[in-house]
Amino acid sequence: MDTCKKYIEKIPLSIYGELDDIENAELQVHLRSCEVCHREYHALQTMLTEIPQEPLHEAEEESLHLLRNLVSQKLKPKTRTKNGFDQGIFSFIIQRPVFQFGFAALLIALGFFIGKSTENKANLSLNENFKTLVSAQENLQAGNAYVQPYILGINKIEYDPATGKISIDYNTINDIQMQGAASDRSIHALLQQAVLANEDYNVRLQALKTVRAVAHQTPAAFDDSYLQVFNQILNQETDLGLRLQVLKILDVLPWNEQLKTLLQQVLIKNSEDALRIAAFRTITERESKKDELTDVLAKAQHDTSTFIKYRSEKLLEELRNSEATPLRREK
Amino acid sequence: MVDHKMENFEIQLVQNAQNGNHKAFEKLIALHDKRIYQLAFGVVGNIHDAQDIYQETFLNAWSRLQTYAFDGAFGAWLNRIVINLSINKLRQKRRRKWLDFTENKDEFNGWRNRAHTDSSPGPDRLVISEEIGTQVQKALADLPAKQRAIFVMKHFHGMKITEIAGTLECAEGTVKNQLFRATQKLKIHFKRLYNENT
Repeated sequence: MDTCKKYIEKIPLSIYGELDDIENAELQVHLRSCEVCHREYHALQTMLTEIPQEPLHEAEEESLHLLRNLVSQKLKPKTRTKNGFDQGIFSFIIQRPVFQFGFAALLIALGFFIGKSTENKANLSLNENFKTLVSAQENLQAGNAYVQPYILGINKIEYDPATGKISIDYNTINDIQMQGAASDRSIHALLQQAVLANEDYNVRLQALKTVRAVAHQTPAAFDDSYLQVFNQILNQETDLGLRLQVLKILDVLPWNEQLKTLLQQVLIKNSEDALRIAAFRTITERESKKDELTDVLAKAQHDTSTFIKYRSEKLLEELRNSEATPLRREK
Repeated sequence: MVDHKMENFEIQLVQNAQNGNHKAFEKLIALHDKRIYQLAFGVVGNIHDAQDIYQETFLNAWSRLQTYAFDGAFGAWLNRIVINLSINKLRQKRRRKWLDFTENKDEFNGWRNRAHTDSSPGPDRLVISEEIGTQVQKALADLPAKQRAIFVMKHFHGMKITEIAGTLECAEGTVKNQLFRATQKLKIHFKRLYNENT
């Protein structure tokens, strides 16, 4: 039986092709002379053949894309230097205790400077330092040191349709209120921050409503960076209502290829009927190229939503019978 | 079988990433992440944990990138990280007595989908394939974390014993022994299932 044990242990290796020729030949000779091991070999071979060899779960490209974005976002604050240490705001203090006092004093001075200049929630004019702080893209110079500014959270967003002014309360190392016109890039940086990263649902909703109001009044204020933000919201946001808000914003933006691609992606890939219907409506009302509209409608005929199926069939029929696109909305 | 040979452009990407270039590291992620995700899922057995481990793996790799010395393929280095994180996660979960297969119902859809696209099947065959998928998950869940990882790497990813030993940083004999034990346990599981059904 000891001999059998030695061979039985080699059976899975033989089935997986991990034995060399000599070991395999020895095993085969043994199998011919031993009924027990022979049965064991076939039982195991049958079982392993029955278990599919593809990975247990096929990762969808869309999920991977989302995960890549998440990792990317988390990588950014963790910028690494060549010697392997983090360049984050506090890392060099951890490395060298001698900097602790100096850096603490610097932070206090900086807080005092910002606190003084804002007078704790006083309205601010948009000076250069403040813009840097808001955009959080470049380090802020304070004395001989550079500090990476953080936006800790956005608390309140107000939009005045009469004046077109937007007011945003947020925190860095102090409470700050910022006011600006709908064309101000700093305001848009904060709005994008709010719709993408704010933990509070109400703030995200308010930010999207503000963006929507601005989109109605000054659609030209929206550049391609906003389309990327909207795409991220459509992929990441768990609340359907907020995703629908995005579709409403997309409905009023200037019609261009990027916008069209984004809407087509929603129509083809999104699992929510409500979002696909909204995208379908916008595309069919605004696409002026007959060929492209025909393509979209031909694909939409296979949609699982009865509404989209029915409408696309009707519109295709109308397209065949007329020269112009049927529902074209002039903007 | 995953090809772990490094192309020149991948070496360049790693070097750039080691110099702090985010974009280069993002390209490396895109090159390897599908396999990393599937390895994680194979070991932990549910989407939620697999997604957590995916993120941990790449964040961990980024922070330890300087320790990678081109002494093996970059993919193999990533495999080591993901498998170790996955085994630890599984052990932690088991310590918390977590094992509820009903949670994983949706995750068997992949198996079901494959069963339905099988070229040979009649209705009976479909039922059998679906049942096998579910039973494999259950059987794997009964294996100790390391045995499960070894079986997943061997059976589903076609890795060589030497690669698996390198990934787990253990002897090849250990891998062979653990693979044998894993197949024996699976066999017992399926035999019991067969007896119950006849």
